[in-house]
Amino acid sequence: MAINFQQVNFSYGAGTSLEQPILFDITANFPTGQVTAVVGQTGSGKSTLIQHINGLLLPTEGQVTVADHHITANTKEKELMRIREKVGMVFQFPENQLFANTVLEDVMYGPINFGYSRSDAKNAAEIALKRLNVSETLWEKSPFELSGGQMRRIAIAGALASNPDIVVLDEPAAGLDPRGQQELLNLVIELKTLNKTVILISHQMDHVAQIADQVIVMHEGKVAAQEAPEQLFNRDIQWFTDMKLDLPKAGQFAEKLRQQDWQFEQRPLTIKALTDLINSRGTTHG
Amino acid sequence: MENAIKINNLTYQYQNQTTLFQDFNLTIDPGQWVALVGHNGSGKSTLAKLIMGLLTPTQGGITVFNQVLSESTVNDVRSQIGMVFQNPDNQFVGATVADDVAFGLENNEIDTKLMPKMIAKTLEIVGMSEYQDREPHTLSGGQKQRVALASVLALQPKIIILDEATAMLDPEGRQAVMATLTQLKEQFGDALTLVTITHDMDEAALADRVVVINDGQLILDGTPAQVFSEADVLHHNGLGLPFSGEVVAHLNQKPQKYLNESELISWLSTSNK
Amino acid sequence: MGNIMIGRFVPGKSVVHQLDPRTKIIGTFVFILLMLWANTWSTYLVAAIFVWFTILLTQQPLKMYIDGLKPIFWLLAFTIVLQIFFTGGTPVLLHFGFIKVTLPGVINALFVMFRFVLIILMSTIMTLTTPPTSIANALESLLKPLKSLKVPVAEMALMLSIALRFVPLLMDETQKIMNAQKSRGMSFSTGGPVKRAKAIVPLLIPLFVGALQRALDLANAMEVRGFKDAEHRTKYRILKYKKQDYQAFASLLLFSIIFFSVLYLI
Ligand SMILES: Nc1ncnc2c1ncn2[C@@H]1O[C@H](COP(=O)(O)OP(=O)(O)O)[C@@H](O)[C@H]1O
Ligand SMILES: Nc1ncnc2c1ncn2[C@@H]1O[C@H](COP(=O)(O)OP(=O)(O)O)[C@@H](O)[C@H]1O
Ligand SMILES: [Mg+2]
Ligand SMILES: [Mg+2]
Repeated sequence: MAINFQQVNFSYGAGTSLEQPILFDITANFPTGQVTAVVGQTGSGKSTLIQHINGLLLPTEGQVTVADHHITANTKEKELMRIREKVGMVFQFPENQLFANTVLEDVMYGPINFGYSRSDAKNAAEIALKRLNVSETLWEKSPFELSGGQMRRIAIAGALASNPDIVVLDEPAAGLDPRGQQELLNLVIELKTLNKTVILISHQMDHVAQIADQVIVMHEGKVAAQEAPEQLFNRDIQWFTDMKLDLPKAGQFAEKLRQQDWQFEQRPLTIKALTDLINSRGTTHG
Repeated sequence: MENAIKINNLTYQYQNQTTLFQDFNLTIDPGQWVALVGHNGSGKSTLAKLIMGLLTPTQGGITVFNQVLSESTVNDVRSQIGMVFQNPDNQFVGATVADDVAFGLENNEIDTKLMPKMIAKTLEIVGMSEYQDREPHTLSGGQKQRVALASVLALQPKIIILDEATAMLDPEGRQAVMATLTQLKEQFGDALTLVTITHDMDEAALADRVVVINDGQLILDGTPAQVFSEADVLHHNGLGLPFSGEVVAHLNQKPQKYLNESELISWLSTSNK
Repeated sequence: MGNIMIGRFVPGKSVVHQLDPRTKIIGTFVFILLMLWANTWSTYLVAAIFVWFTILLTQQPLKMYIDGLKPIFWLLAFTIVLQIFFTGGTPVLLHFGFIKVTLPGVINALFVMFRFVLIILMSTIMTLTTPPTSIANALESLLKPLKSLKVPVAEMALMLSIALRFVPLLMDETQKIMNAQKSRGMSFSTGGPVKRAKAIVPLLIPLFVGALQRALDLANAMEVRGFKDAEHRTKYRILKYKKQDYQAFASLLLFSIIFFSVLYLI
């Protein structure tokens, strides 16, 4: 399911004395079966942008198209419910949304709201919990007894339970330890192989370089770039300073080598690309 | 020599849980910068809370600058240690930046007339002077954490413990906090003992000493060079290497020992030319 | 939730902002008392001029105050309707079956409306120009005499000021949890009353759990910064009346005199 933003403007508190314009003339698209990373400085409008995808926020002007649904300033709640079933939203620190008595009940909440029978909802929840590697011994436990990492996985399972075609993740790796972060990246890759449209907000450019098919850079409420990571991360270094954006660590390392008179045609974006470059020099010169 | 922190045969368990720490020992010398690392749930925060007297050991003792931690000394011990927590929002007590720094001073019954100067001085150290009158919800996460650091500094502690103080921040905020810490360490030298709790190995690499724990067990303890040469042990405990270590792991020709990033860059530049 | 103005603080540098919070609390209190007295057109006119003048002094756009009145529009409409329909007397203006609309009823309704609007406006002025924690601070100072009656004024004021500090955070959190559950198909606008009431559980529980976690964290943060109890502390901010406060009290006195003159002489 593809998503299209057409000249979207958005203000918080539109029509009041506290009106705050946040998004300006956003035109962007998120193709089916691809991972789109949304990056940019804190406050650049990333979270505001993605809340338009399932109609939590409605454009003040312009239109968002999700498959064959059109979301505009006047779209009705009933229509939005049909869109929400198809969009799994994982917000920052999603563990804060858990509420039910058992893990299973919590994950079933979405499917039941979307009209599944209890047994269908249970099936759907079990599939989602397995996908997140939540051990069966935890399913009947209270979610509040579990560790932070487990709670996060259950919350993500809750967002994926109605098997949405679109999955949006807002800084899902924040606060996780290295192993937790890797598991999360694996999940994104798995979602992609299932042909889902994945949108990932992240501050970690290593993750972006590793798994994104395209990157949207937000800057002060506008789209500053929409392109493939290889292209984006080979832009001039000054551009990254202006956008207050990091390079992947391999790219940063390469820039420091460049200051020591090393030369690269392409900026390496992963450890492997970086060390291949260094190793090849080693063999020709060493 | 006097130890800044001495943990002696510590045993601790949460109610209705299995034992977390069993006969745990660790000493930290005055002036050291120690990075305490371990994956989520390994016991880092529990250890910090035990040192602060927010939790009481089942057995064993904790000594802070020769003072044994007990119910009667807990206030004295706390006056020597400052602590910054993970969530920037949940430790901002005051209504404005200045009020937040003042909170600790008020608790210590500092004369009202002396406060403005002390507040201004500590805010300057963390680079937040211009934000005196700002309210917390107008600050970024990194700025709030620097205010938290200032609030702690105002009480002139000998030890500061930061429990994953950067974990909830964006890269910009992280960098600002880490830069502030580095600069603090330079400014105060041996008069300040730092304990930074983290699972970000690039942050741990800034310390003088790295202590790895897992499930309440001490796994590794040494200089960054020593600890980061144990890549397998770290991976086994759910941790990684700093970026420079990961790079070296993929090189055909490796340096003799662990190098930090700037060392590695100069090594590459001289040996590979 | 975005446009409720009463209770919201907007920073600024106006004279009203710079008044001692105690002055503003006393002023608002006196004003409300006077409004309960007001029962003639001219008294409302005098009060409206006073409010108008104060609003100008706050240097905030008038639209902000008007927005602030919008959320209470229905409450206001309801009260007015009640007053119109259930005040008796003559002359009768209209007849709908057993319901009569009388002239005293209409006048009464208008008075109630003016009273309501003016009181809301005055309270909005106070909260708009005073940081919530200053209000707590001022209350502590004003209630100090109660200390001798063993009322824990200091504790209560500290609790109030911390609670107020967390209001914006909790509002923010409510919004976030609401968004998360809406994304999982939560809907307040379908089903009968029982179903709607049930729909709020997934909102309330995470909110309570989150608030509890914050409270625990905050308690730790306060303890490690040497907090023992609310009594044995010095104070960073000591309230002191300044010249503008005396001017404000003088204006308040002048307003009261005019108010009563108008009330009894005209
Ligand atoms: N509910 C809200 N009301 C008013 N302003 C908001 C709200 N949420 C976010 N903002 C503002 O919108 C801007 C963009 O925020 P956000 O979309 O959260 O950015 P990002 O996710 O890139 O950090 C910020 O300036 C923020 O202060
Ligand atoms: N208040 C508590 N009650 C019971 N168990 C707890 C509590 N706090 C932490 N634990 C448990 O103790 C272990 C160590 O936790 P913690 O010290 O927070 O680890 P870390 O800070 O390294 O992530 C974990 O298994 C955690 O679930
Ligand atoms: Mg965001
Ligand atoms: Mg911890």
